Amino acid sequence: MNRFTKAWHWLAALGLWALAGLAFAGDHANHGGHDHHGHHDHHTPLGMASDIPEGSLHQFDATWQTHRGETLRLSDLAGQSVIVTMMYASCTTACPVLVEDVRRIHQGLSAEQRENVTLLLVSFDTENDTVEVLNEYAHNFRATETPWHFATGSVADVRTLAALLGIRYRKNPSGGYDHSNVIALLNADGEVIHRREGLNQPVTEAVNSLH
Amino acid sequence: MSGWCKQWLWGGLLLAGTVTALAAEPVVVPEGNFEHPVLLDRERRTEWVASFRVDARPVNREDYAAFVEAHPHWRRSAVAGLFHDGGYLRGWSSDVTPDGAPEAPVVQVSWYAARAYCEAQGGTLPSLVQWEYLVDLRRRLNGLSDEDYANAVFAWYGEQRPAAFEDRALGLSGFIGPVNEWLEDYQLLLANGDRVDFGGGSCGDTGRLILRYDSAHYATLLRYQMRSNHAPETTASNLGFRCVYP
Repeated sequence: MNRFTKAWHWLAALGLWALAGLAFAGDHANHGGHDHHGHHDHHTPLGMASDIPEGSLHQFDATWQTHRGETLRLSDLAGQSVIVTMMYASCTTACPVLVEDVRRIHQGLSAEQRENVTLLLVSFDTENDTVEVLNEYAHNFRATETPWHFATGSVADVRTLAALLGIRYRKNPSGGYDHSNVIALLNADGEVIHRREGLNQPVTEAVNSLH
Repeated sequence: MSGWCKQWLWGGLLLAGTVTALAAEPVVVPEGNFEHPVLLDRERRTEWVASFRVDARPVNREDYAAFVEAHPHWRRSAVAGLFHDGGYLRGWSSDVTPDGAPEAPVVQVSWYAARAYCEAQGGTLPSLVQWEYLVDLRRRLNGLSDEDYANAVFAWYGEQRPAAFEDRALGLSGFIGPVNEWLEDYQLLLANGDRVDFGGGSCGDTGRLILRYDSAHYATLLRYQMRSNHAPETTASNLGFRCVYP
């Protein structure tokens, strides 16, 4: 398994020999039972259910607030495909392109497929991107309709989601966020079935992955 | 062995001076200025680090066994597959029985698991800046030369041998020690979006991002990169962690 098939070659070039000494363990773990303990308000525990596939993001039990003021868990989206990316409202360079890329993938789907797709755009900027800010953002992008969900959550949950999607980011000194540009597609079981890096690329592959 | 019996035994060992369990009490780290040895963005060369508390040693196997006892969904047989690569606590003889010496750092824990442990203690994983600030602070307070530092770090990469750092100033063990350690924001973002890196654009030449071209900075750069190459689900036999607290 590897959601991170996109290697950071230039990092690996220098780092590989150093990694050579690492011993990675094989798969001997026995997965099975489930339990749910220790809710905490700043960091969502990782929820489990035995009928969820091993690689499913539905296992990540964070609660998000959407630009409509609703709460949303990834597991609420079971049975639907999800086009997901991460952005923030005050970003004027890459993020508007990411939003448009999500729109282009969505528009590439058949009418029937569009019935069953959620668009989820989670903000890095937990300080400034309140529900109100995201609502205004959605209006500016004419993206207020049902499939669109601009969402905010806790700092820890934002970092977990980024890790799960293979998105690297960092708050920069000017108060914005540097981030990799990734759009991922989840199937109805919450598994990542397509992941693309970069901006304004052809959408055919993404669209086809949902067939 | 019952929990009570274990506690009694460790208490006895502690009195005998063979296990420094009390050293696990978090150490207060003074605030200070951190000069970034690796330049992660254009504008920032130094950064003020606020005072924080940090575990004096990496989380050990006994600590982690207590955590999985209290949080059954982090036991090896129950942990969700999304949050590890298959090797989670692989060497343990049961869900709650660590392999090897109980006081050795716990390893084969994913980043997700390490974060969950720290959260349960009311803390978090250290940020990259906090961890590297501590490495630097210990060097300065203990009077370690650049050459000794570089030699220790290179030896650590090459042999994974126990720490060459003695810390009489702060009483912290590890850091450049028995295991590499997870950090909250361990993944570097040297590239900004589609740009290859801010240093110019030639691929693979990240060495230019170090502040000075000496062996100490080179040793540090490799640590940053080595860490960054892990996936968050990685469970490696030389990768542990410790927690920090406000």
